Amino acid sequence: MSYEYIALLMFLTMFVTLLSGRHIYAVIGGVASIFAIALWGAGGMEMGFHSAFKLINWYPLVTLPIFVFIGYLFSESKISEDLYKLIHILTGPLKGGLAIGTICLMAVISAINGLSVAGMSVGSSVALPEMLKRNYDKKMVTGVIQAGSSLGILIPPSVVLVLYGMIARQPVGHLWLAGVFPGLLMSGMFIVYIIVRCHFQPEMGPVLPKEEWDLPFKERVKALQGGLLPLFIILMMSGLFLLGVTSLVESSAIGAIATVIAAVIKKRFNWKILNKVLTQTVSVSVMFMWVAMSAMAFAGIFDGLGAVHAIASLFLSHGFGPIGTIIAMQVSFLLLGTFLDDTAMLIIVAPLYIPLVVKMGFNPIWYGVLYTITCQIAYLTPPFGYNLFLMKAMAPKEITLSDIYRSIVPFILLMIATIAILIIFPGIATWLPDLYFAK
Amino acid sequence: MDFIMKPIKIYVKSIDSISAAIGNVIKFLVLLMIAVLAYEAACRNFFNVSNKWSLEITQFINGTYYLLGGAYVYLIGGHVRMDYFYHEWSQRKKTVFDILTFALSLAFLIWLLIGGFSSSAYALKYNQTNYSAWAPPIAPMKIIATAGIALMLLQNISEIIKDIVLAFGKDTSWIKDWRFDDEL
Repeated sequence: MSYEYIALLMFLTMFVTLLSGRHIYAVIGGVASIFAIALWGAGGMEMGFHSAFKLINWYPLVTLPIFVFIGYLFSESKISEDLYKLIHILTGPLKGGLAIGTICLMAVISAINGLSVAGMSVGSSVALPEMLKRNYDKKMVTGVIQAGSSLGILIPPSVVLVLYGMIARQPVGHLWLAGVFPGLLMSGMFIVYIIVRCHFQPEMGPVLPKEEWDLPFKERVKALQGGLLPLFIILMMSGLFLLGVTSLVESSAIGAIATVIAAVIKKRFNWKILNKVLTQTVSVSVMFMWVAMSAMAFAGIFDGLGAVHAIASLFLSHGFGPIGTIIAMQVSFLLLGTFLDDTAMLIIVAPLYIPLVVKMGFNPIWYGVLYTITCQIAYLTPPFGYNLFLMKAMAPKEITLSDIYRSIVPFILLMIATIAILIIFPGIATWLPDLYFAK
Repeated sequence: MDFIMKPIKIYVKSIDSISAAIGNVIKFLVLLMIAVLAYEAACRNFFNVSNKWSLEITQFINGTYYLLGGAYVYLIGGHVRMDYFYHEWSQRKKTVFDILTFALSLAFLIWLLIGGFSSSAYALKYNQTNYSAWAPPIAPMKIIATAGIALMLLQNISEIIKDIVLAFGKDTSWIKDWRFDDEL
């Protein structure tokens, strides 16, 4: 059997077995181990451990548990509630103002944490009840929260881009900076959409009553303080990194310390909260690491087979052309994303797609952004999207699963539009890292 | 039946307690990583000293964190499944599928374990060190990794026993629910 077919068989076995509900790390790793031994016998016995050990030597991966810690501590600290009050005053007079404000809130939270889970929990505990109370259309409400929270993996810091960097062997600093403008572009498009939609259908997002935002000067200054703590965390974390004071990995630790200080100021730092946050952190980080470990072993076998070369020539020889191949890849990625768990998606697809992209001569930094946006969409697409179930679990009963499904459609279209814009104008992603690292 | 169930109960209870005890220590390591990194940043910026050990120490702490933490996270239900179908099944159906796919877990973990043993033995025998300025011996990290994988294997066996008893056993009262209640 030729190597392409073995590679294909490996993938098929994995997808089918995933449906059995066995833990993802065990399915990927189990399939990898069986193929390694079948292909290379005793020579393949040590491959798994070596691939697993490579994870330890990938220094930026240290940021993963630290960012998860920051995310959970930040949502426990309730800092975002003050921030949301401030946003009320700023966007309240507009039609759909709270929805616009939620996107802004999510963009700020995204600049503090690297995953979308913290954004989701803040969104549904803080923004969701406020918007429902003010008669916002429920489809608008859930769509905004989900789309907004998915910005967490695009706007730096981003854990997804750390994992991408590991598999693509690319510097994480470049990848993070490349996410800045696409993240802002996407947030901007969300906001424009809300403004336009609420202009034609004002009942989607009614204007707040005047007494809620037209506050006396003293109250406004007081509300402004709500923005101070998030600003402090962002400056400590990203500011010091951009000034060259801290390294990328150190900046995550400084961000964690800043978040602890902020939680202490908010009187939300005690033994009970710390213990809960540490348990959530170990649970999510270790889960990620074990999936990554098994995927590294899987990818190791792929490398050994030389399967990437075969698949690349398959695409190119069928007249797809480089851009056509990129589009075909994103489409297949999205199709997989509809029925695969997104954590697994993230890591399974990478070892297959990234070398292909490099081989066709594309900039791997630019593709990192494309890859991340596709992951964002995969987070949101039914029937299986982590965010969808989380949203259903956290939303009040009158919001049905089909409301949630339908609410995300316009936002997914906007995300696809962002991908299209990035394919046409790659400079949006590559300009900032090129400029910053040109020295 | 009692003469079979008794050692099984002892096995499950002791493995679960070991995993839990280790996990409850391990989860603080993230704070240690933060401390080491902040110390390094402070040393460099305030005292102009760079510690050549900080990078690898952080990596080793991180390695210990996730490898030794694997069993604990299994215990508290943190490892994800593709549960689009799975979550709708009855306990019995879940268990049947878990038994059928148990071989995958075993294959992966035994594969890692064999590699871990031989890689650790090699590192010990030849006093293998990392290629770096600090050049620490690599054997301790490999041994910790191997121990974590071994514990994960023992935890997997404990979990499948508990699943079988929950689905088909008469007396399920001795099984403790360790799952972490994650109310957001």
